[in-house]
Amino acid sequence: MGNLNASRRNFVKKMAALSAMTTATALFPGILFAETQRNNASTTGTLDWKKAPCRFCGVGCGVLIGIENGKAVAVKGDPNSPVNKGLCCVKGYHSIIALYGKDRLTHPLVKKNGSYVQTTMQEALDLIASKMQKTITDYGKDAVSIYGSGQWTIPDGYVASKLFKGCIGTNNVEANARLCMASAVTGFLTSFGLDEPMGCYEDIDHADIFVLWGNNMAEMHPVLFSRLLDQRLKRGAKIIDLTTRTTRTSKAADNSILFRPQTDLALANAICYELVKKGWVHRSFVEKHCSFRKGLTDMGYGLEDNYQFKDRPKKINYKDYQQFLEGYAPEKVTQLTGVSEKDIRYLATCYGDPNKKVMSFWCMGMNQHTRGTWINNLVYNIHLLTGKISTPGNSPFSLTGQPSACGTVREVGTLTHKLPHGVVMNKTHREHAAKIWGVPVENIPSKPTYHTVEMFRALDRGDIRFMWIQVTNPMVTMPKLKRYRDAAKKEQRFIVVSDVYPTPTTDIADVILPSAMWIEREGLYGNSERRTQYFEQMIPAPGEAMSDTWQMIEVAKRMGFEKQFSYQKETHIEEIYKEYTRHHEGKKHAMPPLSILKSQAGAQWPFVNGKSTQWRFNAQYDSACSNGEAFHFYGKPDGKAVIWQRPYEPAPEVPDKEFDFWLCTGRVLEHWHTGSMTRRIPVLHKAMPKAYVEVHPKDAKRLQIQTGDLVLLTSRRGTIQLPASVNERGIPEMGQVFVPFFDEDMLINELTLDAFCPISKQPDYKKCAVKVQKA
Amino acid sequence: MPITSYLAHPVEGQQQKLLEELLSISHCEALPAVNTELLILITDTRNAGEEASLKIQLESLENLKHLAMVAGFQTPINS
Amino acid sequence: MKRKGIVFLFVLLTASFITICDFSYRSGQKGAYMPLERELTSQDFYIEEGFNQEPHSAQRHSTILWDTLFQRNTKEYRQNRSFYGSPPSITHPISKEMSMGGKDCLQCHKYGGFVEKWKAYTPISPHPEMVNCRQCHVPQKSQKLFKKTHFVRGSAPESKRALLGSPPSIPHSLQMRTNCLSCHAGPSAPKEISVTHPERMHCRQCHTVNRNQGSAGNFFKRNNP
Repeated sequence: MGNLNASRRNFVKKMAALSAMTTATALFPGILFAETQRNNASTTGTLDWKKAPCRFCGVGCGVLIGIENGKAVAVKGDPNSPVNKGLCCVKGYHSIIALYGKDRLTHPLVKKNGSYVQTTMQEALDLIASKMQKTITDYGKDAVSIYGSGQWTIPDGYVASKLFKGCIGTNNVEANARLCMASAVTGFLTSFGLDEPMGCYEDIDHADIFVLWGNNMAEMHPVLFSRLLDQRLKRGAKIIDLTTRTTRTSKAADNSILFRPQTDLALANAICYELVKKGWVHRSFVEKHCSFRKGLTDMGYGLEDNYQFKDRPKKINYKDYQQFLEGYAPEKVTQLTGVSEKDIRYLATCYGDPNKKVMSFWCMGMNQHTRGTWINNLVYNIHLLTGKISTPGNSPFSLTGQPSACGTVREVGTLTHKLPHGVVMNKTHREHAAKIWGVPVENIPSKPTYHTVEMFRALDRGDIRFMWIQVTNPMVTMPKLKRYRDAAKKEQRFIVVSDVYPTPTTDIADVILPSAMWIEREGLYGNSERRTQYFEQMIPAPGEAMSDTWQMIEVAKRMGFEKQFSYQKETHIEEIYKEYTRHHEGKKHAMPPLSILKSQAGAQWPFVNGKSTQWRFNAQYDSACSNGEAFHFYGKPDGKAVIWQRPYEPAPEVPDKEFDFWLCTGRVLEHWHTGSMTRRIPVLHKAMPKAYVEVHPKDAKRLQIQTGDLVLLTSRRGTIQLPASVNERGIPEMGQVFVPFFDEDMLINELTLDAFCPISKQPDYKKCAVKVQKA
Repeated sequence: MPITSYLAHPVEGQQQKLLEELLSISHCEALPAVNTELLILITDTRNAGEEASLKIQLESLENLKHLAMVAGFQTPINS
Repeated sequence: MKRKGIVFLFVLLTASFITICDFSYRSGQKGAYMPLERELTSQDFYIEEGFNQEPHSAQRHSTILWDTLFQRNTKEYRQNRSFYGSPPSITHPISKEMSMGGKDCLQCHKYGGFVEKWKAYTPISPHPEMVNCRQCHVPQKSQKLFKKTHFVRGSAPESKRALLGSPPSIPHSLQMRTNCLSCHAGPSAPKEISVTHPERMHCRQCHTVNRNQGSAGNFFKRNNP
């Protein structure tokens, strides 16, 4: 009896404690009690769900993160997010585990006599500031550089641009989005004069046909692909997969059409030929809203150091364009592309049928292309000729791969030629930026310096002596990797790397700074559909880890820019965002206020009169349209979008006798980019433990290779050994192989070519020539 | 046997001291919050008189700024 | 004589035992009287969203198979989940890496059934309409880790009862899990969370969702009706 009574009293005590805790929680939201005692009292009902955008790709799914005892313990999709409507992919669901890898960097490390010594954050930041200052005194402003990322939050990118362009006075600001979205940007700028898609994800709910241009959406943008599949189930929408390799997307699509690498240029022109020939061109739309232009051809591929190119657009008329298309009749193109005449005509009918709404999707297939800008232009041509643009369901949609490639790199403008609003070459734009930054306008140089590949080449040559790398892993992702790794290791180079885990890039660092990751800090991301999303700090960062924003502010203060960087620690994100939005004031790019972003799953700019703009350039939805017509492409001075005459040109390196295979590289569903986060998530690493090379079954038979056999891949730049994969997740065409790039133990970029699109400067990771041997 | 729970607000910066003091008083159990200056105090006394005297003792604590009762229970004495 | 008596007594006892057992077993087999059962169509009573979907073995409640021999327990159920509520990984080898959905995974995971090779019943998907299966469910090809992790699961969700004997609340979110019976009934359901009364269908009449788990919201629906 005594026992029972004791347990009853215990129970009452627990009840008393619990009610006190409940009251405390109501009074102080987010209050936490010491773990052991709390567990004695009660365990349920303490899970707190907080909203954030997903850490990984550019889709920008809304996630809810379950926080318990100051730790992230669960993830679910945010049903209130119009992006993913509650669904995530396997990476998103397990994303929080990436915060807790045992080898998290928690304290700064400084290289002394070849080995890393732990130091304090204050000392490390002092060292960085003094090194930067010394480099500027010894070698000039253009010897220091920052290389950031599309995973930078908006405030990260903003302070980087302000510090380097505004305060120090160098345009040596680049980001890894150059390797990923640059062709999309130049595509938008050349065709429309303004960056980023005119449409949005809601187009998916209206479109009748989806055409995927070299985009393995089932693996790379699975949440959006699920929305496509959902629309097929509910409304019978069609999915057409244009690809060089058979993938899960091909299997799931209604129609999969294979083309040879690089020939998408000819295929797109052939579709336009058919549209013109069959009279499917929307005449009044083209007359009112489009102009025709051609640019330089035979531009080269940027393989040599200090390569320069500037396009010289020339006005042409519809007749000239029609004449140009004559060379791309289906019967002429079929031989080159490997696509049958029937399939070309079928594609043309899909785009041409006035009763069908068409959405085109693409990502790296079109952007990582030595003619990336051109192929972007050509797909816009198709949509412009048919007038299928800027209306619900009619949308050429360029997808992104990083959570804030749009939000930070493209909108804040962390590229050498960009400013938060406009470009460095434009005097008015420089004045606008200098005024908000509080710096003399002469500080901002008017000439762009190095794009990413050239920046690493400059590091090799010695033109750049100091480089700060944040949130990216170039020692896995640079093409022709060996040259740039050797460059970084050269004497008299000082490399700072801010990251969350040791990577091949931290291996080349002189100082490693531990960064606060994602929800360990406050920040904002911008996704592919112009949606800006906010996340609060939910959990403490480990050790001395510090947000990238604050790292740069600290260094800026040490370099004497206290005035420009006088932000308060508690409110700096809000202050920076407020300052940043001043750059974009006006109907064309107004950003949503932070209070809106805190209360809902993001909003889309231009945010005018308290409303997101879903379809730009369409007077019905976009208040910036001012020409009195239904559409206004206000990015161009004449208000007209440009239909570009862009020919087919071959790739710089094609398979020959010795190197007889095409090599294509890419991602897999389970891993995100270089895997530095996803490989530390057990469920993902176990699902995809190592890289492999996909070989066509017939090639495999001829070379006597079976799944799992080691294969030697050799290009003119290097050799690596990988296990083969035959008839598994993807099947490349005969004479082609595919290798994912996530595995730092099998660096496929040792083999790739550093050729790039002369207009966008984005390298082509999808095409080079290799030799395949059984090891 | 009254069992009562309170929210105890310590004088600024004195949470740890207050916790130690409370734990040293018999019939008292305390539970600190990790990220806020606040303690949960549970008293478990034998009768109302004892509770009243405990209350006086608590009020004399210097590090205690404010004490708010949340819940009270009266359990039967039949052991 | 005495011995014979004892033997007789035992025979009599055994016989009566068998008779009584048999009787009670048979009467137990008859079940309760439910005259309307046959006339119900699957549409009529499935008020919960998840029930309206495609025919589902669990929907024919009267014929739900009860086979406890191969039933899982929650420990096994949680083994291939990283945290409470995470998508489970695939525990069996996969022959086709490229296809999924209706032609593949759902062949087994839509209706369930016994698999001789694994000596187990196939778990039934609560969201068979989502066919990009491998978006969330991945196999486990290796047991090694790339780097060790500090990640710990949160505390297990607990089903609360308002009073002794009240129906327990739903401790998990209903997102993608509106079809209650796919996990809470049938031979693939874990023992501890198997429902004793699948025939009652309108689950949420009695079982409410824990507040902090949120509702299913307007989950994955078209927004242009």
